[in-house]
Amino acid sequence: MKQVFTCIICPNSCEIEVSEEGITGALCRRGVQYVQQELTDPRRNIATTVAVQGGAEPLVSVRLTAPIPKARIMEAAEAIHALQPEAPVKAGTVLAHDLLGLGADVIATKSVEKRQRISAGYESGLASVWQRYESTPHTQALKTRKAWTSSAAQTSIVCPSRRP
Amino acid sequence: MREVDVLIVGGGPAGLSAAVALYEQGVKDILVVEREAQLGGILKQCIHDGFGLTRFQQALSGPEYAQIFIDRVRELGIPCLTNAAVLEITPDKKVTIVTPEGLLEYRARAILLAMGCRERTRGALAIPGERPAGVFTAGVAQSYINLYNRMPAREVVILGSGDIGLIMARRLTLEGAHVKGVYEILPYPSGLARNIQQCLNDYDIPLHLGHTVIDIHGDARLTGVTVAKVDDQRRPIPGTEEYIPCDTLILSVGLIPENELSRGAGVMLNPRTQGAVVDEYGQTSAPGIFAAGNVLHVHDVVDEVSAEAERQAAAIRKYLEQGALPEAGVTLRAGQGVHHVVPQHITGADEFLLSLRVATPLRNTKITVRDGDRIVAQKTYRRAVPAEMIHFMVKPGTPQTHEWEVSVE
Ligand SMILES: Cc1cc2nc3c(=O)[nH]c(=O)nc-3n(C[C@H](O)[C@H](O)[C@H](O)COP(=O)(O)OP(=O)(O)OC[C@H]3O[C@@H](n4cnc5c(N)ncnc54)[C@H](O)[C@@H]3O)c2cc1C
Ligand code: SF4
Repeated sequence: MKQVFTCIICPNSCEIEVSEEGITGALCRRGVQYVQQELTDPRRNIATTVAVQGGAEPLVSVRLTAPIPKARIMEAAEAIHALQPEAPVKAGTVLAHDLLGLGADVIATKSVEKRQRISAGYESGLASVWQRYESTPHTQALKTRKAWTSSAAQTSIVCPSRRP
Repeated sequence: MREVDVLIVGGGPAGLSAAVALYEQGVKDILVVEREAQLGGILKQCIHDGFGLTRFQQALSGPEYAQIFIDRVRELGIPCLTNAAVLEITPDKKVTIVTPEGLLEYRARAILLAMGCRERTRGALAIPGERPAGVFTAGVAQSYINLYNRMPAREVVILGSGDIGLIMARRLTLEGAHVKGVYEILPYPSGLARNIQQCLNDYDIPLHLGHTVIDIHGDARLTGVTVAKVDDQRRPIPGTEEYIPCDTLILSVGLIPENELSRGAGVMLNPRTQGAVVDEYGQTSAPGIFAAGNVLHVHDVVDEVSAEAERQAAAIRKYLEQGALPEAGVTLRAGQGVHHVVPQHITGADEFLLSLRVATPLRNTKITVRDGDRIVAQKTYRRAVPAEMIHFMVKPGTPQTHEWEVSVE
């Protein structure tokens, strides 16, 4: 039986064929290794974002240090999204060791500074603006619009650094 | 008016790579002008990995790739103006910049255009229908999710199979949205094959080739789209319409080099690349004005953007030293089966890097550079697709004519 794989290791995207004759079509070794891995235990790396507590920016981007089994991706994404690092976060920092026992760490891929506290007055002012925004008819309408499911309405107005 | 040797417009990977290369080659009077608050260009929002494979032999994320260059720029102390947008460039290289502190005027001896590209929008596609909220370009959705912590979608249809759309299909899925399908008007995907595999197939997201969105429904928010099959003239086939309920339509229908400024500077544009017409030095039709990166032609991977910017940097240094570059008297034309070539002019004296895209997907094909009857270069490819830029070095030999052609057979 012949099977065709698209190598995802580099942008060349070689089409690699696996048949009785062996593995053909790979321009380099890494392609052959990829297909062998794909046949036995397909793995992928994932990249996503995590909300930073008290950050100058709401999110820090993260990735895994090693690929994990394909079947565990969604589970891993959820576990990553549950992380709550506090600012400042430096690029390269390990945010979680050995995620779900899969042998890969979660590392930050950018740096996020601490949010500068301008003044207590400013912060409470900001909070009251949010409160007013939340209670406007426009926001209420967003939350209840039928076509727009209620969970979607909430996430569309989520306050920075608060994950849905 | 202030003076500077080289003014670089845009602090993305192209601008930063050129700045570092220039500085390292001894051209130190440089200014990088970036309109956003941070350097890094579009890479800031491309959090997936796969950047720097050729250059660093590592699958970095976009922000990591950008940071390498940002750190180097800081280390060398290259001046960068951020929150500063270039408003105008004149043919004699006067540059007007708007900053929060007011207008600045510079006269530069050389200018590098590195403004990147922007996304084609719905307006450019002219899809009929209502105008509800919930229609985003892929890059805008990418910035909402990756930078601003806003989830703009639940039930998603993606129009167009460009790489950013494919990357966003996976991204939205990881964030809990349901991507119902990707619809591409062409009979083949416009993104890289590896992205079809790792962003769609891996997540069981269907790709519908030869389909397009013909209607958009919804009042305040999108409620659904109508898709249809198209014939080989790309016209919708009656009777194939299908209504798909969704709250979000993501457009990934192409990138356009950002060339408003270039036009004002008297730079001639190429209708195929929508970037400047350049010679092998990356010099545009306006002497001393160069272009690199996505503003010149849309690249697939950032490694090539950096490499191109570095080549241009070397040429800029030569230009500054010699006051002018050798005249590029030979025209390179895109012939049969070739969508475009870069550069469009060459001197015919030196070896140069030829970049091109084929017009349609081909197998076992030969790409030939012809100077009259003389074959200058010929390359065989097992597979050539429009989604993948092809490039190779060409040794020109002794030119016989001034009109060369690049074609496939
Ligand atoms: C939305 C999107 C997603 C992408 N995703 C991927 C991907 O997944 N993988 C991949 O390999 N490549 C991807 N690319 C392509 C890759 O990011 C590019 O190859 C690379 O970023 C191009 O670099 P650049 O410097 O030419 O342009 P950019 O990164 O776009 O940088 C241009 C810079 O110029 C600035 N600028 C523009 N006009 C002015 C002005 N008038 N004054 C001052 N500054 C100005 C802009 O603010 C910007 O910072 C993507 C591109 C886009 C548009
Ligand atoms: S086989 Fe090698 S060259 Fe081909 S896509 Fe895979 S890694 Fe790239």
